[in-house]
Formats: sequence, C-alpha cells, structure tokens
Amino acid sequence: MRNHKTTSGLVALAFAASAVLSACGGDSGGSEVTTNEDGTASITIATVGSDSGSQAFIGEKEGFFEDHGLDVKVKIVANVPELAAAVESGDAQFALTSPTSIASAKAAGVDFTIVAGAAVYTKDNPGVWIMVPEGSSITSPKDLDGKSVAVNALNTMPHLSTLATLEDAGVKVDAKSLEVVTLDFTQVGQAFESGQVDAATVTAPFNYQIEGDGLGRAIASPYDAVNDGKDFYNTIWFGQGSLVEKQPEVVEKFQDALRDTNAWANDPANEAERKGILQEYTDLADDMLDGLQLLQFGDDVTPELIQPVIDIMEHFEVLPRPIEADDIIADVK
Amino acid sequence: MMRSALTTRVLPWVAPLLLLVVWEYAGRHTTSIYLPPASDVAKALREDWMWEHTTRDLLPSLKRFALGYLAGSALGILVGLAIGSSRRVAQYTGPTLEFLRALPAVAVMPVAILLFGLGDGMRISIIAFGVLFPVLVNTAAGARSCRQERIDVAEMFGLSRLQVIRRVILPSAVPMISAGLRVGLPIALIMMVVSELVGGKNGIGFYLTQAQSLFDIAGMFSALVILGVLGNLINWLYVRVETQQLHWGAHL
Amino acid sequence: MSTTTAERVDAPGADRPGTTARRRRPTRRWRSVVNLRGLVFAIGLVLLVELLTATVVTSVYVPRPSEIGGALVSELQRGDLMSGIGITLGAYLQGLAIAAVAGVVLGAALGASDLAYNAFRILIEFLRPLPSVALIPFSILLLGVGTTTTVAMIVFASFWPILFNTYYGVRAVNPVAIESARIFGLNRRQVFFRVQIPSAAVNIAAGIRISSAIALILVITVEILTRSGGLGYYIVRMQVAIRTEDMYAGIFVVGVIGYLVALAVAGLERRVIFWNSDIREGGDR
Repeated sequence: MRNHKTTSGLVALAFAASAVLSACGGDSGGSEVTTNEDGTASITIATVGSDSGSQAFIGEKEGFFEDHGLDVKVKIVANVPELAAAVESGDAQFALTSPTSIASAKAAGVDFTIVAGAAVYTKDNPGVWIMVPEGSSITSPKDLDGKSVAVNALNTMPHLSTLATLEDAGVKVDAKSLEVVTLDFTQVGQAFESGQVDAATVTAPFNYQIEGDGLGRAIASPYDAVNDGKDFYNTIWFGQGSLVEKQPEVVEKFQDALRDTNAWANDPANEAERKGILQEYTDLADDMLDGLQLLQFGDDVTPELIQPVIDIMEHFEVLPRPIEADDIIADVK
Repeated sequence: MMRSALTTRVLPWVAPLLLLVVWEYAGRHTTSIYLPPASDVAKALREDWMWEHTTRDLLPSLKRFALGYLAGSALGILVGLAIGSSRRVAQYTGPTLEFLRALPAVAVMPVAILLFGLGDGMRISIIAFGVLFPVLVNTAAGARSCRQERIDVAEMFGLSRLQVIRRVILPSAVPMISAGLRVGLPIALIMMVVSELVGGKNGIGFYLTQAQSLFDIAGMFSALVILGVLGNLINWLYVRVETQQLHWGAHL
Repeated sequence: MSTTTAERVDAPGADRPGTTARRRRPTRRWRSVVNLRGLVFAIGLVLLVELLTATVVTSVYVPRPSEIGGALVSELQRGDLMSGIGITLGAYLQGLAIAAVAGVVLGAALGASDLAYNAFRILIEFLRPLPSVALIPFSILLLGVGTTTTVAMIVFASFWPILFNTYYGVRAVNPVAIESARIFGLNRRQVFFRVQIPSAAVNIAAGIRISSAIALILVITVEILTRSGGLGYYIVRMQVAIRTEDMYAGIFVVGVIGYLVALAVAGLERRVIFWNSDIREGGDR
C-alpha cells in the first residue's frame, strides 16, 4: 500500500510540475541580445521563403549582416502566427510580416514595433493581382458583383485591397453580394482549372505560373486602391518593443545592414545574382524565375508609408480600436 | 466507503480546478499576451460561442465531422472485412494501404481538391481519409481473429463466402470494429481542424486561424476549450451508443 | 494487428475454400520479406494512374507517375530530399521514443494507483482530444520554431494511445497471476514490475504501433505547417516553388517511409507477442 502512495505522489508531482512549467513558460518573453567576444551581436531573424522575404537571404549570402557586426541566423517560418510567436517568445529578434499584423497586434495590446522596411508597393511593380480563370467573361472588377473571390487569408492586404478595388468599381462587398473564400496561393491554379472560384487575388510568382499554364489572366492590381496608386509598405520587419527600447544599437545595426542589402538588391545590375540566391532558398524553377519581377525594398519607415494600410483596415472594421502609424514604428533613427 | 467516494467523485476535480487557479493567477501576473487569465477565456467563451460562432462555425464543423466520420467508418469496415476474411486480398492490398496510411491529410489535400472541389466535399473526404485506416486495421484484425473452425463449419453447412463474412466473421469482429471506431473519433476531430486550417470560410479550425491572425489569444484558448469539451462529449456519446447498440462488444 | 499478416505468405493453395487444414503454415523467411502480390497490385495501380493521367485527368497539377518517378530519381541525387528524410526520421524517432517512455511510465503509474488515476482522470480526458495542430502556436512560443516544436507535437499526439494501452494492460492482468506471484513471496513492487508490466507488454506494443502511425502523420503535418525543415518542409517548399512533380516525389517518399515503419513495427510486435506466449495462443489467428 505504501508503494501505491509513493507512485501516485510522484505522478502527481510530475503532472503538477509540468502544468506549472507550461503555465509560467509564457513569461519568458524577454529577448535580450548578447554581444559576443569579438563585438558582434548574435540575432535570429525569421522570414518567409519567397521574394518578399529575400532581404534576409541576400544579407546572409552577400555578407551585409557581417559587415555591420551582426551574426545572423535566418529561419524560414510559415506565416504570421508563427512569426509573431517566434518574436514574442524571443526565439527570433526580428521577423518579416505585413503592417496589417502589427496593427492587429498593437490593437490587441501586443508590444510589437516596426524596425525596418521590406517590400514596397509601387504602381509599376505591385506584386499582387486579381486574376480570373481563362475564358471567363469577367474583364474588370465591376463584373465581380455577386461572384466568389478567393484570397489567401482574411483581413490581410490581398483581401482588404481586393475589397477596396471592388468597392471603387461600385461593387457591394458585404457577405450577401460577394462570396469571399480563403484559399492558399498554391491552390488557386487548381481552383481555376476546375472552375471552383470566379476570381482570386494572387501574389507573385503564382500569377506567372497561372498565366504560364494558360489557366487564368490578371484583370486588376488591387494594391492600386490602397493609396491611390502611391507607394506604401507591403511588408516590414518588426521586433519586440522592449528590445528596441533596451538595445537600440542592435536595431541600428540591423537597419544599416538592411540598407546595404536594399541598395544591392534594388540595383538592376544584380538581378541575375539575386535570382540565384532566391532560387537557392526557395527552389523556384528556372522558367518561373525568368519571368519574375523582383520586388523593390525600402529603407526608412515613415508613417506616410504605413498609414494607408491602417486606414484600409479601419475602413473595413478589422481593427477593434483606431491605431496611429506613428505608434507602431520604432523610434530609432 | 467514504474514502472511495471521495477518491472517485471529488478527487478527479481537484487537479483541473487547481490548474484553473494557477492559470488565472499566472495569466494575471504575466506580461505575455499569450497567457490570458482563465476569466478572459471564459469571457471569450460567453461572447463568441453563445451563440454566434456556435451556429456559424461549430455546427458546420460538426456536420462535416459527422459525414466524414460515417463515410470513413463505413469504408473502413467494408475494406477491413475484405482484407480480414481473405488472405489473398490482404496480400494484394497490404503494401498499398500501408503506403496510403502514412500520407498526412495536408499532403493529400491537392488530390482531395481535385476530386471534391473546394467546398465541404473536400473537407469531409479528408476527415474520412483519417478515420478510414484505424477502422480498417481494427476491422481486419477482428475479422482475422474469427476462429477457423467456425468458418469451416459454416462452409460445410453450405454458406457462401459473403454469407460467411456476414454471419460468422462480422459478428466476431464487432468488438474490434467498435474499438477501431472509437480510435477514429479523436482522429476525425484532428482532421476536422486540419481540413479547416487551409482555405475555407467557416469551422472551428477557421475560427482558430482568424483568432490567431488578430492576436485574439483568449479566442484561441476558447476554441481549444470547445474542442476539448467536444472531444469528451463525442466520446461519451459514443460509449452510450456502444453499450446500447453493441452490447456484445461492451465487455471489451 | 495492422496489415502485418499480409506479409506472411502461405503455401500455394492453402487459401482454397473448403480446405480444413489450418491456414497458417510455417513461412519461409524470404517470402515474408517480399510480398509479390502486394507488389503486383501496387504496380498495377500505378499503371492505372499513369493511364488515367495520360488520358482523362490532364491537369497540370496532377503529374504522371512516370514524371514523379523521374523527379524522385533526380531529387534523391540532389541531396535535399535525403537530408529532409534524415531530419524527419530524427524528429520522428525522438518524438516517438519520448512518447513511449512517458506513456508507459505514466500509464503504468496510473494503472498501479487508483488515487493517481482519479486525480488526473478529468485532466487527461480533457487534454486527450485536443488536436495537436491547434497547439502549434503555443508550442512555438514555449519551444521556438524548429525541431523541438515538431518533436513536442509528435509527443503530444502519440503519447495518449501508449498511455491508455499501458493503463488498460496493467489493469487487465489476470488476478490469478498476481495472487500466485504473491504466494511465491514477491512484494507489491516486484509483482508490479515482474508480473503486471510484462503481461501488459502486448498492450503497450499495440499502443506503440498505433502511435507509430500517428507520429509519422504528425511529423509531416507539423513540418508542413511550420516549415521547420525535414520532408514536410521539402514538400511545402516544392509546392510553393510550383514544382509539382518534386512535391509528389516527396509525398511518395513519405508513403514509403510509412510502409517501412509499419513493417518494422510489425516485426517488433511479433517478437513481443512471441515472448508472451499465452496471448499468442488466444488472440491472434
């Protein structure tokens, strides 16, 4: 009988310990960056495996991080929740995401702040298109009244900008007159092929694939409707607000490294090499790379380049409370 | 006597309540938004799941769950009986089934979309795919465990192969089938969520991804609570049905 | 019993209806390894799909098996796929091993003590049905992005079948066996380790078999959802890179691994059952 109790006691202890551990684990949010003996700072950055996340690959390959005293480990992460969790847990110091998720985070009380710019939308290089299946009678956004449109996720830029484009074209975008379904970019071609949706908002390089396979064509560039065709940030780098406050010098190093990266990446002379690096990290096929229009990266993050994104979120009532662009941009430099 | 009532009735609730208290305390004293206090989650439960998202997300999820589970179970029992009662069928299909069984639902999604489109059909087929194999494997094992003498006797009495399967092999496989059906329940629940994570417009999995992208952590926890309650409810329901309908399997 | 018996091939003709002889005959070793009929069926199925994809189903998203085969050969030589397999198997084995140890230890403890069982019954019942994919963001928060999260998710999903099988196994031990052991002078602890645990071995093995399949599905799913390396990441990377043949080559490798794992587990389980002769007489036919 005594053994009985010992065993059960031990088990109880183990369970209680694991429960408490998992409960308290959430506290370990701090992400102090330690400086190495040689003066370099070791950081981990999380990015996505596509052209919009390619600053990290270029910086790593071309040595721009090293040049600025950063020992960077690049992690490829799936999407926003994982990126956010990686930064929140201190697993990564900086991560790539869309300004929309930082605004959402701010509204939810999460201490995230934008530290550097990434891909910029420009009218001649939008990177996102509303596409319709080949042979569809739809030729412009106004034809989408009462149709189904696929987007990769709700309340993201592709979704909201599509709604804005339709609204500008005089189409009602409430749930009754427009059916919005979520569909991974990778599955849009298949959905077109089998006639499952009337339109889809697609980012590069999937538009090239769909056009190349003769499955669909672009009818509009939805990001034109976000800021009347003027520039804004499509993706940005963010980190914990506390890190920015405590160790602005790390943020500065990161910004400087990205500045060099951007200068190199935006230079058309480096296009072939940049595509080579992109291929190394993403395994994109040669023919896909050939047609790919590479994104332009921006250095400084100003409220003017962020506010349009927040405005469109507010317009479609995504944010529970109003957010000012100024409040989500790090005050470094 | 008092003690045993205390252990079986009261004790089971001590750990969960303790955990709730610790959770509430930790939630209130952490700076991390990823651990909202239990009371916030309760609030999210009340606001979101009474009853707006219950009708919008929970019911469609349950519908797909039920259809997928039934389809997968029916197919699993049929194929399992075929495999379990004929060594030849088992030999022919064994490696192929073992191969298919290892494929994760996320990986077969492109094929499911191709076959069933983007709507509920695809999601139901993914749930069915997940349930199919545990039911199949258990049914086959149950059918195989039928004593050879009984099959021989039945065949001597002139029963056809199909009759043998229906009258002799199936009844003796019922306990194992029932066990397989039970194993399939939580798997169907997992598949239900997985099938809603990628694409879609409603469902608990969909709610979960929405809450994630809006940093609504209390909402995420509330979905987990719903899933936990759902899992238990379904299991409880299954045990009831099982003891009533399949009382021969109840002793297992 | 999974499809294990599928690999045991009988002497020709033993399957004929009306044969009253016992169906199972001693099998020759080499035949139990090569299941010709299974191979024929699989090849036939592949040919059928080849035929269908060449004629009826002409989607650019459905590559022909021959194209997938070609992609598989070239990808295996390139090394990415191989390193992916290594990472995936590593996480898989690690996760399964942790789940097995934790499941057996806790299951045995719960089986040994009513008090422990009652104390955690409701907590366990509540946690068990939680889909591990829903826990990924929390896991990343605690353990970061990478293999640790993958392993943790595998452990969470494959822990329960082992726990419950062990628990029921320990509980279901024949009381006569326990009594006789006590009569022979073994104390409770000795009875537990020398009688209850060994006779629960069959149940434990069954639990590990169930979990071995769950764990494989989980490791690929988590790798696909988090892109944390391994075969799942390879698959999703190829999908995003729009290299459909290579993606299916990766999926094919997953299936092959699943088949091999099932073979290995069946072999292990046969040993356990062999060791436990009384069960062998009764259950498995």
